[in-house]
Amino acid sequence: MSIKLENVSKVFWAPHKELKILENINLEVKDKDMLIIFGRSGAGKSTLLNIMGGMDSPTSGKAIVDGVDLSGLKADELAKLRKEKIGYIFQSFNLLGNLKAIDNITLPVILDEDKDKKINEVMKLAQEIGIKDRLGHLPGELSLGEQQRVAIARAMINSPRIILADEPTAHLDNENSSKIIEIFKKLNREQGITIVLVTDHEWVASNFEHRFHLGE
Amino acid sequence: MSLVSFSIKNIITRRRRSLASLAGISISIALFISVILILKSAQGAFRKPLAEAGADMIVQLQGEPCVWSIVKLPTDLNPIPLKLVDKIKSLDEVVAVDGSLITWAFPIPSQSQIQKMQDTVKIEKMQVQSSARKGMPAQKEGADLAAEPCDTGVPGSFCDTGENAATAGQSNFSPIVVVGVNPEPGELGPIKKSDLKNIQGRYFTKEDNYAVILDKDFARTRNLKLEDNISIGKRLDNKVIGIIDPGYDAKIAGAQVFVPLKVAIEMTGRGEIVDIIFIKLKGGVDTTVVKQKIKKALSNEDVTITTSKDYLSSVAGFSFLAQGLMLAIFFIVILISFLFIAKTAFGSVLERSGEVGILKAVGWRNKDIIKLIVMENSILGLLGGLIGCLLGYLTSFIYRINLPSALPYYLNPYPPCSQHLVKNTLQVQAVLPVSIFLLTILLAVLIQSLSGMLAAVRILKLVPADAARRL
Repeated sequence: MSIKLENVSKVFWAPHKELKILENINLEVKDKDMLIIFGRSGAGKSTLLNIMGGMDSPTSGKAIVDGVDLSGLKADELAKLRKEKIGYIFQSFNLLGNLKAIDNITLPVILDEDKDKKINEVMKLAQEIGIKDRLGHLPGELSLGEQQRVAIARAMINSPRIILADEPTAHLDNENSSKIIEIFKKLNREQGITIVLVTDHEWVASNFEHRFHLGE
Repeated sequence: MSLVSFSIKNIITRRRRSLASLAGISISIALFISVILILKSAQGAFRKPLAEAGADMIVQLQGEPCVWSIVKLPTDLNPIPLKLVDKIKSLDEVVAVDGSLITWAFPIPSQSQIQKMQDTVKIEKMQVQSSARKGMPAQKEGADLAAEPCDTGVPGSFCDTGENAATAGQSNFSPIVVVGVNPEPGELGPIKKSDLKNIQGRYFTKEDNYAVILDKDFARTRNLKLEDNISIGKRLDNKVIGIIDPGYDAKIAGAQVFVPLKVAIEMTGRGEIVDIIFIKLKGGVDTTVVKQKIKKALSNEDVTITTSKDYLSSVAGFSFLAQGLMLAIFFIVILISFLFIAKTAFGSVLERSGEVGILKAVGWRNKDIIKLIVMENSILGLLGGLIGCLLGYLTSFIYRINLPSALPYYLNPYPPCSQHLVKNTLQVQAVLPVSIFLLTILLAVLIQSLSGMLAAVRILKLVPADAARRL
């Protein structure tokens, strides 16, 4: 599943001034590709990722996912797209602190009729990434690496064709970062999932072949 | 996990926030219920005497205090000819009428007591002999209502606890309150059919002449039992055939001794009279019209008519102004209570914008998020409403007080010096009608869920990325 950005600009309005975060960005991520968006802090990487995932809209330009222009979709259609085709991983994991790991993982499918099947599938992934024994714990009881893996499992529960990960290694040590990077590579390699990662760490970016340097 | 179970899980796992919400709702509802219960209880308590007498209207005639005799009408109550009871009964708006005769029966005084009373009360002519009072009082010209001029007696002046009382063999030279009642009890009056279950012994029959039924407390105070004889007025051998337990609350025409009406009439010696008339009206009739008709029937504009409708204001001293103020306070309390619930719910949901952002990010549709928030708030509203109702109900017991002297003296005319425990208080009872209970719960659920929904709609206007950043 491909992602294409055409002349995407994003402007935020702060009091008495206009902040141009993105300006005429053109970018294409091909189906089953794995892309690193690399840039300094404040360059607009997260904003770009949000626009790709329909979490935010560009001030001008187009975001096209799987051939569909996101600007033409209504809120519920965007929600359906995010649910069925995109797995989103936040920089701070954004797990709900009151829910156990298992409940955080199943959050996207709670209202689905076929949730049992999806939960069984994601349990295999949980086993693979080493958090199966930690599912009964609250996020606060997990290490940062474990929390990130719970967030990955949550993003994967609907078997998305695209994963958008916003600085997934930002809060992790090198050992955990390497493990997380390896998980993404494996998902891309074995399941053909299109993956877009955002990072400001050069060594993380160096692990990937395709890089888009924002703010150059 | 269904939406309901997820909602319950959210409520349980967010213990602090849920408890804060529940506390807000419960306190508001408790306040609301307390005010309702106080108002309803007060209304119920004040209306109780008329309701217990089975009457919508009480008719009495007040005038100059009557002259003293062994058995006399209390204080300034004046006689109403018995035939007027039938006249009132013939009115279209009236369902049933019953007349009773409230009297005070004194012990026969000694000569020294008579002398003292003559000195102190300035009675022109002490008439110990009831024969002097036999026959109907003189008719007033142009009036159907008979009344003897009563300008020589002073009510409440016969309480003598001194030497003369001791001479008379009484601890207190005070009268016994004797009420003449219908020997065939109906649904009206001081003793109704339904009260007969509270009688030890039996009620009157038509054949009973000098039979009496005693108030339970009076019987205990005087150490009287069934089959004993009691002296009333000049007659010494009135046989006790029943002892009635009148309950806790004050009663209209409550008595220490009940006798058949004809006996009370004979003892009073003033002809075929009553001094209190109980009236049951047809439903929905205009009491003002009926009052006018009764005044016309009695040919007396000064007749005292107490209705259940104006009881609060005219009898219980609860003015319309006070009622208005109570209602104003009631509505302010409702407003504050429900605004507080709305504000709590609104604020509580607004705090969850980060969580809503996550739900949107992982693919929840807006309507699913609204369903979740409405469900959670409905559950909180239901629980808070139930707890609030319970708290309000319990709190209202603090107000479960006795309202002293709620009955005016002419409805329950005990002499001021009576040693007998006068049941002249009304108990405010906390009764929460099921309809109010259900309505309150419904309102709590509606306001809580609507406020939550409005807050959710506001959050949902945020783009998911902005909302998620607030977690």
